[in-house]
Amino acid sequence: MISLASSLTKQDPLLLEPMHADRGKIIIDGNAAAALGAMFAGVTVCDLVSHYAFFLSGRKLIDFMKKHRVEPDGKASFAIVQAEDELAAVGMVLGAGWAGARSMTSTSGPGISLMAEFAGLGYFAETSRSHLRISSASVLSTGMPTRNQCRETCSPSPICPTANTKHGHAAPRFCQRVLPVRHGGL
Amino acid sequence: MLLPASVNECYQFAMEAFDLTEQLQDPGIRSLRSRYRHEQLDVRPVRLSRQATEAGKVLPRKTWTVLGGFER
Repeated sequence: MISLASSLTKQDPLLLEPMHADRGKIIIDGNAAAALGAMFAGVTVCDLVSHYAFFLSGRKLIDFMKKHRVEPDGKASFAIVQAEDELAAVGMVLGAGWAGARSMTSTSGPGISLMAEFAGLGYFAETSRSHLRISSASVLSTGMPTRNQCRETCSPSPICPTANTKHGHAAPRFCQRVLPVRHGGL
Repeated sequence: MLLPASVNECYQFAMEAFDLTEQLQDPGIRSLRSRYRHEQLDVRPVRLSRQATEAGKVLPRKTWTVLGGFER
């Protein structure tokens, strides 16, 4: 076999060489990037509903926090709480935000509709908190057969668009003007 | 409601979200698309800034000027 390969002569003009297109880059997915951003932003409370697929982002957050947010004496400077449902998750996040902690939870499009009650309460109580909303490939969680991701964004009720919970008032009307101001902060 | 369009923005908007929610005292939503949520993409690492997090509930004057006021 070796002698056969050495006896071949290159006759085509093709030449392969490494492109080094990934030089200086890291390979990461959106879940890990969002988890890293949340950790460096100082999130201390994260409520999770772990039976969902979007728990992956929270899972990565747990891994990062265990690695970087543990005090020298071994005590964790964060709290990861397993919630029984979406309403409980956003309720605990709301309470943590009310107490001054930077808190977050993750959910999906239909999941954020289940948080509708506390979403309205948080708006009127002027309590800051952060959701990490993972959109599925479809509006109604049916997957790719009904793929239409843009509809979630373009819904008349952008904060709870996937079900019949209309909390359009919770979306600040000036958000489109805020984003260009803060964009590029890093 | 922040809609990141890339993996880099997933990281950047995660930090922005907490600052905005505290300054505006409103709930914030980061909406990730499943396209770049699951895909392993090669991105250029961003440099951490000391001013990345602006903990507190005060809107900077520059933002107030652009907003032209606050209204619920």
